[in-house]
Parts: sequence; C-alpha cells; structure tokens
Amino acid sequence: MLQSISKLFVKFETLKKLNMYKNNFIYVLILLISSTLSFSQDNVEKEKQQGHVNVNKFRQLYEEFSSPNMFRTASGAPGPAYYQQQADYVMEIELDEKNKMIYGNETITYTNNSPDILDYLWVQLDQNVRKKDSPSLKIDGNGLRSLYRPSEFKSEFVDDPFDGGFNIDHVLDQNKKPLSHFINQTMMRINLPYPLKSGEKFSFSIRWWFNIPDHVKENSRSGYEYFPGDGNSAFTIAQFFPRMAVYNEVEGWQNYQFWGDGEFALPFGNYDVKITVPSDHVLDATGILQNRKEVFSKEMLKRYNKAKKSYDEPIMIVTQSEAEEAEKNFSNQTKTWHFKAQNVRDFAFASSRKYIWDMMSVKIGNRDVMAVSMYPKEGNPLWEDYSTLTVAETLKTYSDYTFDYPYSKAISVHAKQQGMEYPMICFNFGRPNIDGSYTDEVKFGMIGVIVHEIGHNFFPMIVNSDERQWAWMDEGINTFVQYVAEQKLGEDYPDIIYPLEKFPSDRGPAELITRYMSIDQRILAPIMSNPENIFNLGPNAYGKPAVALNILRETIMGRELFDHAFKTFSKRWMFKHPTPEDFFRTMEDASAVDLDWFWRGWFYTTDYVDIGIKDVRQFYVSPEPGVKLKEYLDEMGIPMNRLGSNIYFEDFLNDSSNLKDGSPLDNSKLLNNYLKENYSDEEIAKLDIPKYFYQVVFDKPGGLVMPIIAEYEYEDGSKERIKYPAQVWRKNDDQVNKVVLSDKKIIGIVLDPDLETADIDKSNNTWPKNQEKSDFEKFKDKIKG
Amino acid sequence: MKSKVFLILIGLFLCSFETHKYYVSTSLFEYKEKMNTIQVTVRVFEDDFINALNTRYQKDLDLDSDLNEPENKQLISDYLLVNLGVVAENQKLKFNFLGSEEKNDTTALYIEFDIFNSPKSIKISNSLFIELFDDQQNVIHFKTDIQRKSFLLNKDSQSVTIDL
Repeated sequence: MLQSISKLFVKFETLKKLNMYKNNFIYVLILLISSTLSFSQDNVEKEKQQGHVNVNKFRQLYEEFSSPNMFRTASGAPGPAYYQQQADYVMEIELDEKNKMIYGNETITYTNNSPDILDYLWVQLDQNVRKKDSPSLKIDGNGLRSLYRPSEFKSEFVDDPFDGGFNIDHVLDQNKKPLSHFINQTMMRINLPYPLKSGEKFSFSIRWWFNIPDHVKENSRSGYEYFPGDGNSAFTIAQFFPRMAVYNEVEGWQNYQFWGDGEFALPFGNYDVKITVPSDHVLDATGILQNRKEVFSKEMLKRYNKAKKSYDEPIMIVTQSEAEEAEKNFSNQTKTWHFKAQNVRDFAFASSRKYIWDMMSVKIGNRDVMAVSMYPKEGNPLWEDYSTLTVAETLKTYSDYTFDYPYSKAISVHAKQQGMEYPMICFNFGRPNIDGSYTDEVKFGMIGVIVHEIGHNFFPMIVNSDERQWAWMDEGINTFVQYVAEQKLGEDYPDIIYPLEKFPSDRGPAELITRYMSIDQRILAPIMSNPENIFNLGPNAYGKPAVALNILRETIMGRELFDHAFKTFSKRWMFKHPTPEDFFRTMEDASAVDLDWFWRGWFYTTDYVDIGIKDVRQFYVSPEPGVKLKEYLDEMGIPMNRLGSNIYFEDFLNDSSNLKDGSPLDNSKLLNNYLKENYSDEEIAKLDIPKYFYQVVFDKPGGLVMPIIAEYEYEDGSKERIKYPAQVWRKNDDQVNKVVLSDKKIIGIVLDPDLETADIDKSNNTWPKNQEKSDFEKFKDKIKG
Repeated sequence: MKSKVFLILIGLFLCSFETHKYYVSTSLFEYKEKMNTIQVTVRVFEDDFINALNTRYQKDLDLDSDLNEPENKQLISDYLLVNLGVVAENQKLKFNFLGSEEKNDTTALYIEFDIFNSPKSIKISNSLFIELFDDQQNVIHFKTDIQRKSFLLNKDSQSVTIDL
C-alpha cells in the first residue's frame, strides 16, 4: 500500500499544478487506481528492484541474426555478391552384384566462384560412417537390457560390425600423378599443389570401392535388400561416391563430420555417370538417360513413347510378369547405363532385375515431367495402384506452392523400410503382406512417404539448405508442404481416402505436436539445434517446424500472405543455398508481418503454448459507487460527495440492491439525463448500449506467445469468436485483462476451440471450468455398459 | 479409428533416416481419497507397447490386434503387475486393470488401485519398457484435490515416494 499511495500522491501533486477543478482530481485519482476495477492490496514494500536488458518477447532478433551483408541481404534475398561453388563429376561405376560391392572412378572438376583463395579442398566420404572402427559407433551411451531375443543377442554381442567404409585406391591430379590428401573420419582434405584462385577450376580423380550394406539389417539410407525367395537383390544406392563439401561465406568449408543424423550439404554441379550392372537389371537414376536405345528393348521403347503421352494413367515399361521372368536368370553379362544431369546436388540410382517399372507424364507449367515408379513384385498391388499417381500429384501441388518442378522426371523406388531422397529419385517403404493384402496404415504410410520424399526434390535438392547443420530447414519445411499436398491429394482423390474425409496426415495439424511439446524439458532441444544434438529428431525437426509453419499460415498470417511469402522464399533460393535467417527474413519481408517473436519462441526455445482463462467477472452499472470503491474512499478519507456525478460499475458478487439485472439505462439516471440532454429520442433509440459487462482475465502459463482465440457462447446458443492478436502479450507476458461487452448474457467461453494453436493444456481453456468427466471415468462408464 | 494407428508407425520411418523415436510414457495418477481409489491413466505408444508384450510373452500381436480381448487383457494385466505398482504402508496395493483404448496417437491403459485408511505417503513404481529401451522415460503426474506433482522416472530411478 505504501508504494501505491506514494505513487498516487506524485500524480496528485502533478494534477494540482495543472489547476484543475477539485472534483476532477478525485475523478482522475479514482481512474488511476481503478482502471481495471481492482484495487491494489499491495501492503509490502519491495526491495529495490534491479534493472534488466530487453527481455521482451517481441524484441527483434538482432542478437541472434548475423548482420546482413553483400552476400545475404536484410530482406532475406541473395545479395549482389552472393556466390556458390560448383562441382562437376564424370564417373564410371560398377555394381558387383555377387559380392555386393561398388567400384568407382570419378573425375571432379571444382570451380572456385568465391572471392577467396583456397589452399585445400574438402571431400566428403560419407560411407566411412560405416567403417567398423568408425567413431560414430561409439558416441551413444548404452546399457544392458534385462532381456533380448536370440537374434538381437547375436547381432548385438556376437557379430562383428559391418565394414562398409570407402576404400580409396588412389587420388590423382590431372596428370595422373598422386595428389596429396589426408582422411579425417568422413572428410578428406585434398592438399592443392597450388592455391586455387577466385574463378579458377581444379580437376582431380579418385578411384574407390566399398562393401554395400544390407539396408534392411543395417537400417541404412543406401544398400541392398535380399529376397531369399528368388535369390535376387534390389539395390538402392546413394552416398556411393566421394562428394565435394560446400564452401561458402557462412561456414567456410562445411566439414562437420557425418555422424549419422545430420544429413548432407552439397554444392550444385553437372553429372556424367556411366553405371555398369548385370545385363538383365533394369536401372533408373538421377538425370537423363543418354543411351536409351542401347539399354531398352524395342518393346520398352515403344511403351516409353506411349508413356510420354499418357497423362492420366501409368504405362508399364516392365510388367510384373516380365519382372518375374527376369528374376529366374542371373546373367553374367553386363550392361552400361549412361546418365547426364545438369544442376543437381547429388546422384543416386536403383538397380535390380526384380523391378517392375511404370511411367506417366505430368504437365508442370507448359512442360512435361515423367512421373516414374520402380518396385519389386513384393510391392504390389499397392505400388502399381498408388505410387506414380502420388508422384504426379506431389509434383503438381509442390509446384503450385513454390516454383515449377525444373527437372525432367521424378522416380519413386520401393525399398522395404527406407524413406530417403535424392535429386529426381527417392527410396520409399510401404509393403503389403505376402498375400498382397494391406491395411490402411500401410497404404497411407506409403502414400505419405512418397509425398514426403518426392517433395524433398524441392527442399533441399533445389532449395539447397545445409542439412548437416539444420535438419529442420529441409525436413520441417518439406513436412509442412507434405501436409498441404496430402490434404490436396485427399481432396482430389476422395476414393483413395474413403471413408475418411481428410487424408490422415501424421504431421502438420497443431494438435499433433502438443504431446511432444509437453514432455520433460530435459529431453527437449530448440529447433535451432544441430541434428546430432537433438533428442528426438522426428518431432523436433519434422513435426514441430511443420506445425509452426501451419500455424503461421492458418492462424497468424492467413493463407494469402503466407503463401506469397513462402513462394517468394522458394523462388529466391531455387538452385541456391539459403540459411535459416534467409527464410525468417523473407517471410517477414514479403508479408509486412513482424514475426521475430514467432521465430524466437518456436525456433529458438523449447517453450510451449498454454493460454488459459484465469477469471471471469460480471459487472453492472450502478448509480452508487461500488463496495470496493467505497472502501477505498473511506480508507483515503475522501468524502463521497467529492466524487461528483459518475456512472459506477459494481461486481455482480457485491450486488445488494437487486440492480444487477437492470440495463445501464435502467440503473443510471445520470446516463439517461446525459443522453436526453444531448440527443434526440430517435438517436437514443438507435444507440447500441451494451447490457452485459464482463472482465475476463487470460493468463499464460506457457512461454510461447500466441493470439488468444476466444469463443463466447451466449444464452441464446449463438457464438462469437474474437481473436486478440499475439501482441496482446507485449506489455505483460503473464496475464491480460479484457472487457467484453454484449447484449446477451455470456454462458461460456472456450479458448482455441478449433485446436489450432498447439495449446498443451486444455483444462484451463474453458469457463466455466469444464465439468466433463475424465477419460478414465468415461472409459469406466463405457465398460460398465 | 484405424487411421490413427498408422500414424505411430510412420513416425518411426518417415524420416530421412535412422531417427531415434522418443521412448516416453505418461501416467496420470489421480488419488480420490473419498472414493478410496487411485485412478491411473497410462499413455503409451501403441507400437512400443505391442513390441513389449511380444518380446515378453513371445506373442505375435500387431497394431490391428484387439487389446481388450480377454486373453490380451490378461497379458497386459500381467505386464502391469510387474511394471506398475503403488505401495502404501509397506503393502502393495491391489489393482484392477479396466482395459485399454486408442486415443489420439497413443494407447491409454486404465488401471484402478484400491487405497484405504488415507496413508501418509505412497510409493509409485513404474518400469514400463525399461527392459526394452535403455533410454525409456516414464513421466508420472500425480494429482489430488490439493496437490499436483510431476516426476520423471527412467532406468536409474524407477520409483518415487510422495507425501500426501
């Protein structure tokens, strides 16, 4: 009390100096202390407070962001000095099916477009993560469980780890002379014979081989699956060649080791690749096939030409019966497939004699793109029904929200449990039972993973972010567009999802992330963390950013503003290397919506959303000062008559005169007189004078700032929704009061009625407190029948 | 409802790769003194749970299996008997497993403990899935009319004592 009184007297003195009427002093005095109809009961003098730096959640991200510069502008676009390096590859690859080995020989031509002089280059040897003595096998803590299945026991305690690292035969310069190099885990430094100046190129060759892992057993991104029934294998091969690391003005060389979780950072370049495989294999890969006439049969060529003109159904290039026939022979002959790809950041291929192959054209803008699927018979009938269709639909939707898909084809390859993306080709799970039957889970899981991995063509294959450092930039952004594309697929093909009304997306809707965001803080990491240090990459780098973007689109910005800004980002960074800041800045720059508070909360912290209704009080207009005000005047020794004539509010709980059901006009002669003196009867009749006055206190136990979406339900059953912008929290991060006026009595308030804000605790979202039975009690009632 | 089940499955794979799932169960213990009962709702990932039952009892349950079938219900009850307990005044409390229900992307298990004589403290133990997943985390929310507490249990700390 001491403090508030002393404060008041300061104001009082100030007012005195202004020479105002005495009654007005009191009026203003009361206004000052009772602006929210609550009188301070603060009786304790506090210790002297300390100052603080800016901790407002709406402060700009100046400390987190690097300064804009000539490479990257403050608007989020590439700057005038933006550059990127180029790595071109000419490769000859041989697949040894019998021994499950890859042999390769490549010539890399590296172009230094940076303004810097380079003394060395870094080459990535990703497969070294599979060396049997790889440090990455030792970085996870472990312990003994109390029980194991025999097969688990053997693989965990008896078997040697698989040895799948790169074996480098030689590294040669242009004159075929050995080139000095040094291997550190998954990175190889090429010691240049002379410094590489800006604008210069350097060519060198590497010859290598490695053992291909069984990707089913090893759970690896690349490898083979063995089919004991017919003795064949299907090879889905990637990260199979030494690849250039990225050099830029953000990281220097991005040579953070590959430990297994943080995926890849790769420069763009042109590829010329010849792959030699058994002659009875069919193969598809990144790029345009150069020798189709040599490797295709006449029949296949005819079908391929037909597929080029088929826009509504896939054409079989290799049928199931042809594939089943091919499975029976194991040719000793080989065949070489030749591909060229322009402006890609990577290269992958799939090869087997088991593959069924279908293709369909899809119009993207005014170009034809080939949607392709390759799958062993084990994938049917699921794959022939849904794969290529899903590829085509994905390319269309993603193109609508970003840019027209620029490559000539997109291939979905079926592999037992992989879900992995490369330029123009990806490996996807989704396998029916042996008898061909499958559950909805398998079907929607398969469609979902195809949308996701085909979608990766856009992020990160074209919008080429640094996956090694930021998993969310491709996974999260891609999972968001995946959600949009899945929903569109459900709308376009209601038969596929029947009897569901929406595609059952597992990520995207706000509600689906609430469980993750409410787990123990000790096992949470901000989205802006390196993927190797994140506890649960799935919900962290995929689910949470996808929800965040979905909330931006649906709740914060609206679709029009969001979609335009998102497209702007995609187009600005198409075939370039964006950073998170480039994304954050562009989304604001193209929309005029300040989002620093949103990025800060959702991406830089582990805070969660929890907004509640703390208190709801109803007031009525009274001719007399209310109980609280009277008490206060008494305490201050101010006579009532000094207040002059006012309209007073009194809390319903203090009503003693049965005035609470009266309207303001019923209860206040003063208001009546004032109106009659100043307005005609006609004008007064037109006035919209509220009858009910409420004061609602919203509180915010959660750290994240969000709009308050409140749905007020009135006596007559009608509802009204009011959205208070997130900025409502800018001056008080704990709670905010709101006056709600209405002509009808409010009987209930619900916060976030559509579950669009990811509020983790709904128990404080309703007024009056939800008396609904707990899940436990409902279940108990149910089993009692 | 079927669609809900597969959500969990692709949670496992729909990642570029090798993502670790998070192994977390959440149990709400509501002590209703007047009713002499503790109502427990355990939420688990259905695939973790089925995996645990299969490993433990050499079964071949899958995501389509009806967990409320008498035989499966007995299995779950056995599993809970070993892995979820409440002790009051040195007595292990008797429990009744009511059944399970799919809810959002998880399975909820409903268990009721009988508790008499208003003890001064109770000990809750929870070792669900710890034999399967080394990094399993079991979150306990404990709630009475007047108090609300949360605890994080794991391999190294499988029980907690709460003063009432």
